[in-house]
Amino acid sequence: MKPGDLAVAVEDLSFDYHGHQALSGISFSLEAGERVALVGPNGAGKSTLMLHLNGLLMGSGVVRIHGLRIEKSSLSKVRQQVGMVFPDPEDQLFMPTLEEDAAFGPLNMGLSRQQATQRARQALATMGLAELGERSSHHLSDGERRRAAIATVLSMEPKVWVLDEPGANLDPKGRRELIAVLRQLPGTVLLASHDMDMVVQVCKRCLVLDGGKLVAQGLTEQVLADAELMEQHGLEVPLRLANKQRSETC
Amino acid sequence: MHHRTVEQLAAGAGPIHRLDPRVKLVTVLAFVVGVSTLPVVPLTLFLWPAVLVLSALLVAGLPFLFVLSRSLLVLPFVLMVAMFLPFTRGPTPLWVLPGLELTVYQEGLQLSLAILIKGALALLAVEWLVFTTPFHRLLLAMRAFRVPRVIVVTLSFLFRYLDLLADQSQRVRRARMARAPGGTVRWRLRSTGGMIGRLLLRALDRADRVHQAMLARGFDGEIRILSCLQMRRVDVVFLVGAGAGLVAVPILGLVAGGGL
Ligand SMILES: Nc1ncnc2c1ncn2[C@@H]1O[C@H](COP(=O)(O)OP(=O)(O)O)[C@@H](O)[C@H]1O
Ligand SMILES: [Mg+2]
Repeated sequence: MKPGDLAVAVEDLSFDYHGHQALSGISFSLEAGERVALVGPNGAGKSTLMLHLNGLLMGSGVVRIHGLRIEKSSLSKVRQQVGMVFPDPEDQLFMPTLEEDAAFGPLNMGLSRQQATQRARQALATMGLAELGERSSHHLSDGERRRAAIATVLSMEPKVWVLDEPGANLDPKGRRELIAVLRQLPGTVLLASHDMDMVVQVCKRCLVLDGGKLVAQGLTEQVLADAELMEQHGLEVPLRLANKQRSETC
Repeated sequence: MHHRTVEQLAAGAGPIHRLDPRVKLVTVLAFVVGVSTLPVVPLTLFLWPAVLVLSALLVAGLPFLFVLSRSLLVLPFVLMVAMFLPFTRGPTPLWVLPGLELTVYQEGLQLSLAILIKGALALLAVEWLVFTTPFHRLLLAMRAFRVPRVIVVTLSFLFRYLDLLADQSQRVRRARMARAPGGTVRWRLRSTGGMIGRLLLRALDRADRVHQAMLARGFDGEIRILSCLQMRRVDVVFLVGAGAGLVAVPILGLVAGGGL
């Protein structure tokens, strides 16, 4: 397969925070349209890795997005293609109204006000927030705020989605809604999460990161069901898979 | 929190709420300047501007008690300025406070009253503006009048994250109280320093993360927004009407002041 067919291609990526090694020799790739999970204990380097996928951090090694190498000169193009959803939606909703927030990306991409308005409204409607465009984000519930943060990225129509722990602080209803949203996101998805059941429901494939190294990858159902591997890296076998195994052995 | 109550008020849909914020801003500025240049006597001069601002509040349909309670917050500051004037500005003595040997002068008393009234009128006008205009529309108006972008953007972010900051400071304070309620003054001072430091660090963290989120959506140093202000016919009508009402203020002053 040519590199151009891959949505994300990472080759030998390393990065340190002022001497503290956060990523070492990471290589992997995502095919276009794939949904892949990134799991690992706190401090494994998941967030650090994700920040590299849209050029917010740049370490040594090569990162390509649909064949385009991330470097200073390609940043604006890369950022149009890679949508980032951050752990805290409050960080992502910084404009006075939701509609302005959802239009922020499209306007930066050079779309006209009219086009940006249309994109923003459409994205908010898709996330079930059509009525709330004039609202400010602090009047929303946690679940709504989470969907609003996704809408601000959806309006840019990115080819690649990078979501860093989008399920944190959600109640069961908000979590269910989020899972439904994640399953329907168009394009390629990389999802970092501690919610293993969510991972099983959304992602077919999964990468395991620990101590800045990629320690395993494969089909979610196989990787996450490996109790020894999970324990070794401070993770746990999701209930869904554990139950399944039990019912198979009985 | 109070600024959220204000925000709810400002989000109303009345005719005054829907006016162009630039029109409201100019009107209020003109009113404040006009009132502040009025002479001190006679006090009847202030009747006309009082009628103007009160009817503006009435038309806006603002809850009277809330406006009053907000105004009272500022009262101590105005009082502080006005309190000592009656005793210090001469020369015509009115009466002597028994026991204190303090003379109240007529000129000082008049000036003091005028300052109180001018302050109250200006305050009511500003409240009318702030309570009928969503903050971001006010910022748009400021931008339209060439207030530097960096100031407007800073205010916008401050307003957006004010709650989170307040929340955080409350949490930090509660955590401290839980660990050691009371304590010596010395300890409390020291831990307050630590608290402020921690809040500052958290605010910086937040700023970092927000900046990252902005960069991720293609931010290149220039804030681009959808909203643009548009003058409608009602805005022009209001501006002409308010202009006529306001022109009368300095004219009254000129007539009463005999030339000034
Ligand atoms: N801004 C930073 N400065 C210094 N060290 C950091 C910074 N961000 C993360 N780290 C460190 O890098 C490592 C990886 O962190 P992170 O990518 O946030 O992990 P994860 O998202 O998997 O929890 C951790 O050891 C963390 O302490
Ligand atoms: Mg993280």
